Amino acid sequence: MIPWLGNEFPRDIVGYLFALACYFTAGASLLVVVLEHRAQREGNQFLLTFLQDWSRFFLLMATVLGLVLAAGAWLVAAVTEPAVVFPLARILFWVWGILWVFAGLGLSAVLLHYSGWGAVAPGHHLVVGWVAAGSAWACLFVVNGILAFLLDPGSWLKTGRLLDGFFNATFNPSLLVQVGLALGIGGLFTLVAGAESDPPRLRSILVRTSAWFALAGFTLMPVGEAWQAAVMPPAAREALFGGAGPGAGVFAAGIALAVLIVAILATGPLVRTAVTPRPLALLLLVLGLAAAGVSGWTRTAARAPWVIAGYLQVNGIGPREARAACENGFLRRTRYARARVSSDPSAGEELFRFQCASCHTTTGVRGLRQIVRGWDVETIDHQIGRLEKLRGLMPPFAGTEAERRALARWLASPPPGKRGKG
Amino acid sequence: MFPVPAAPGVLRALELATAVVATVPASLALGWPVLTLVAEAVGRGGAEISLRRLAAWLARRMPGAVVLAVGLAFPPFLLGIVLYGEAVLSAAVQMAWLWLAVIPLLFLGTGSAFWVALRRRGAEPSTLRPFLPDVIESYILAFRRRGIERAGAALTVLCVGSLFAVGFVRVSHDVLVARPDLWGPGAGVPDGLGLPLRDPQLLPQLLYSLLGALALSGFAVAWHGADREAAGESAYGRSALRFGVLWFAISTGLELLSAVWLVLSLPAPVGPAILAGGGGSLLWTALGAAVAAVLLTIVAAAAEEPRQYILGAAVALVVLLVAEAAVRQRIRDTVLAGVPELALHAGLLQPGFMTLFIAVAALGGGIAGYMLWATSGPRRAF
Repeated sequence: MIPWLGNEFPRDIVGYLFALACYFTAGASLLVVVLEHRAQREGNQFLLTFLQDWSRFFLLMATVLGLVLAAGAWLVAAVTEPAVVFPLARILFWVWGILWVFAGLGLSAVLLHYSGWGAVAPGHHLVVGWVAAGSAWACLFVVNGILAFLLDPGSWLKTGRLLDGFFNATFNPSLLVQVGLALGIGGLFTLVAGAESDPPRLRSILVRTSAWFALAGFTLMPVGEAWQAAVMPPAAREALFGGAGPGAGVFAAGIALAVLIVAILATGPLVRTAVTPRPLALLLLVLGLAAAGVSGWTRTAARAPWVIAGYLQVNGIGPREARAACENGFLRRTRYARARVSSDPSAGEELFRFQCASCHTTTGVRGLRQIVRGWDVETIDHQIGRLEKLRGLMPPFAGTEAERRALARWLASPPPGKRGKG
Repeated sequence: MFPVPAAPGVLRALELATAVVATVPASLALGWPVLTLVAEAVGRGGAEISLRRLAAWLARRMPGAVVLAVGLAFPPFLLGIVLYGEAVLSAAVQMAWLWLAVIPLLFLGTGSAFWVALRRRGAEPSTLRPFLPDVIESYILAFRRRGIERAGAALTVLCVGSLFAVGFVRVSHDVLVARPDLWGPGAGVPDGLGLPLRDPQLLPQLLYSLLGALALSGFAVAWHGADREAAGESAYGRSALRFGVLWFAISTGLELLSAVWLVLSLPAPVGPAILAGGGGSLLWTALGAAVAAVLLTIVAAAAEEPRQYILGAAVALVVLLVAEAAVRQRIRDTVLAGVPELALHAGLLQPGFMTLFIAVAALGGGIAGYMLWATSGPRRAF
């Protein structure tokens, strides 16, 4: 476990940045080829020069940021939630393979597109650009399928056929959200770059096109979010909106951010293309990045406490294992646990390590000892026994009553450094 | 027990194939920056102008090599998790801090490779400007010289250092995977710094990987030289060919010595088990292929028509890489044979989307072929 920060925070940061790189790559690649097509048709040399330069930024975002963060997401997940990565690797193996083919094709196209400016025949160059855009959108399509499957695996739980769980009721609304964010983020980045470009005719083209992209994106996104909330499984809706959690507020904030962006775009850049100041474009970009973050948070919150709904929880324990642990004990079934029985002095710490540490620390971010400070063992034990009812976001404790009590005792005891100091 | 996506034999064959394919760009990514620095240093004296040109050629291709190396590392990594999940992941957790350090190291390695390649002459206004401070933006984009110059050399050193550190983590992880006593149930709570520094395999494995990277990089330079010579650039082509052959031959010779050290460092029951189980013939095949490749490249360096010899050496190298990967797989299977949790249960076979994957891969291959055809010919790299 990563001290103080815990396991979840680094995962979320890397995941968020990777999602941004994906949205940018899909949205901006489409914008580049649309504009390149127009520039070739009109013989607009200014626009072609801008695009050649812009594609360098695009190249860096797709490779240095996107590719390394894709690797980073796996590296972080492998050490922070190995019990989850292993089943995900096996169950979705061929899906990861398809995603990898599209990503590889897209990266190759981006490299060839950038190095081909002025050297490759314009028609072929445009086709390579379309391959880059098409691959990026195909990646988004596949990622959306994975996200929809994790939220609602449907009859896959019974049949074991991935197709049964992949294209479920949340697939289309979730796709709408992804498409919206891709168009929006791609458009806003390009708006920042084009806001003060010269000459004015070029600026006008760039601002209008990128603003339309962003407008379309942030119009689709809240529609998709609302549709998704309406069709998601009741348990997911309850996890997101029920209880005392911030889900409903965050969801509303995401919708509000999108509406705000659309309002600013409609009254600013779209009507005054020649005088869009860069600070305004940067503000819109910041709002767009926040909207993307909120969207990702609500999706994760709706899934909690599951990684694959009904099959695998965030701590790597499935319903069957949980039942067996409640009957026969968790520690004796866990190969890597140092303690085998609840009376072992390290039993509480081991139970924390295997059941809580995927999301909590002891005294840092979401520090459990801070949360239960001042509580007696009885109170902690009582709360651990009804974790799943507290906010709907946590998996139930998997173990016997004696193990539950061992965890409660350990949480109530002072941290190792403070023992013996009264 | 979780489902298995394909028959164990298919997964093992895929792991072997993807490991071979991934070795090439990973070696180029590590070796080319080293060769770039040497070519620039030798060429700067003025005696070997061709080598400065070679340094610039290499520098502009470093980003592509690094991108391919990172991208192609994913399939064997994923297959490693599917086949040896508990071993691969538990070993990663034991050395979690170093494992996580790979992310910033990859940023440094990829970023510096692009930085070197994208520096160019002429400080024209750039769309990067809104996103970067002026000083960084102008430094990235303002100058491109004929050679890589001092700043480029410093960045190349950064690239080499970062990628070498990534290579060190990777080799350490491979060694750790083969030590269940260090990551298994009795290994204790991981502190994230569990490097197998005292393992006798670590040093020879590191040396072997580094020399292999330099050898493959040298071979790629030799190929480029032979290609340029055939295109009529005889002075530059011959210079690059000799430079590449020199690196390839010396590195391969030393690599063979390190391979002997590596085999001798294997744990007592593993070495004889490998040799008895058909591993011996694989080792002899690898040795024969390495010697043939070296001899063919040396002949190529002296021949008037070097391309056919280089092509022959390439075939020998493919044989060498496949044999190497097969030996590595056998060693891992032998070492981990006693870990029952790693056994694949064919009864849980669920090949969801395998047919679709094959179709997408075929389509992707076709499109990639078209793109290479469409963009081939004289073209600036960056």
